[in-house]
Amino acid sequence: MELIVFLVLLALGYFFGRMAESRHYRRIHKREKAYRRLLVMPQRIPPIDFARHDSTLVMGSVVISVDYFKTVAAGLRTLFGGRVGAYETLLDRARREAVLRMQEDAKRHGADAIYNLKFETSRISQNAGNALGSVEVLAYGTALLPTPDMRAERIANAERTA
Amino acid sequence: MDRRPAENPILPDSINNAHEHPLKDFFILVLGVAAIMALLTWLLAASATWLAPRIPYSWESGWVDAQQSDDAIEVELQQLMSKLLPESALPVQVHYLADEAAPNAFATLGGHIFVTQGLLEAVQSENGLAMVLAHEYAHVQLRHPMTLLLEQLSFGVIFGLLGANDVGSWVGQHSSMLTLLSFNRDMERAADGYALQRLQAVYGHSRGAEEFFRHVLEEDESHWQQFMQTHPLTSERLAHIESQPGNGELTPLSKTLQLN
Repeated sequence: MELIVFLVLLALGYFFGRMAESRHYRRIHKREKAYRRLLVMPQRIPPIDFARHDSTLVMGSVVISVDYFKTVAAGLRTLFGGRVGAYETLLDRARREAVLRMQEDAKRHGADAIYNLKFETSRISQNAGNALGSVEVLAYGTALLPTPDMRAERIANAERTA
Repeated sequence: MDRRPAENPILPDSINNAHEHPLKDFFILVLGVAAIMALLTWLLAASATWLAPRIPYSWESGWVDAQQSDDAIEVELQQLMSKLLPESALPVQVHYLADEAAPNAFATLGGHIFVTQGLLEAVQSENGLAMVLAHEYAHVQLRHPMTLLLEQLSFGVIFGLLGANDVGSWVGQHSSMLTLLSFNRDMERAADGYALQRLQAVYGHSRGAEEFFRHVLEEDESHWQQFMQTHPLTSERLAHIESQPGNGELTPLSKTLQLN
């Protein structure tokens, strides 16, 4: 009986996990393409071009949970060591999603670029014992915003060239 | 001079994420664990067989307190036991389970041998009872209960090691049910051999040895075969007993032991 429950959970985890993963990667690729012009840079100090810009904090946060299949696969990995592929894809998705959300936040502010990108992670509720519950991935940075004067100037420039 | 890139880079998918099929990895790991478990189990079981006879018997018998019995049947059984065994035999204690109707006898740690009421009803002669007693004593002499204990302990150790993760504890829970506390076929054969030898030595023949098994055969062969899957089949044991040389008179059971 317990074996059946175990196998059903494993199969459910596997199929739903795979489905969610491939769908998520498609969405990530699409949005990364759309946000390519909104620069995200790791430097702490922005170049001189941005010296007169306003700035604000922008962030994107993602909370992810592992599925049963990944827990079991990673549990087996703890015996042998090596790359825990099951978690690598999950965290890769989480990081990229967090950056995308941060870019979305910056876009809402009308930012020209984001500097000083940082990542944070934290466990949630002690990872639910050993069962590895959830992890938060937080991406944050300084969005550089054009001042109202700059905006007006840009609009004027655009009208002149038109 | 502006050294900013025009766009964010396209992130490579294959560096932080192997994009390998997760099932491939999973099956390799499962096979690896299964192989290691099988090897460990085999090793520890083998070492239990090797180690058990080397553990002093006094340790084992010290674990369970011996009590002097005043039950007439128990005293009688004990006397029959000492008649059967050579001088150098290990000390054992025979217990009688008066309210157990199923014909059965078993030996446990510390040289305790249990005989059920059903067994006394099933045998017709002292020889038949002697065969069963000598058989159970042989288990003690050959340290089979200790072997089983060591096997159980080693399974506990294996699964304890794996207990660190989900799969390990799950496998542990289920395997402990599979490894029932029962002697295997080789152990039973060895005990049969020893018992027949004792019967030959004491009575000069091994007639009557088959009484218990014949009774079992008549009672309910299918049920017993199922129960005795780890044991040699009853018919096989009977054949072995009948192949023994010598013929002689059966010794009747003493009055105390005659229940029917």
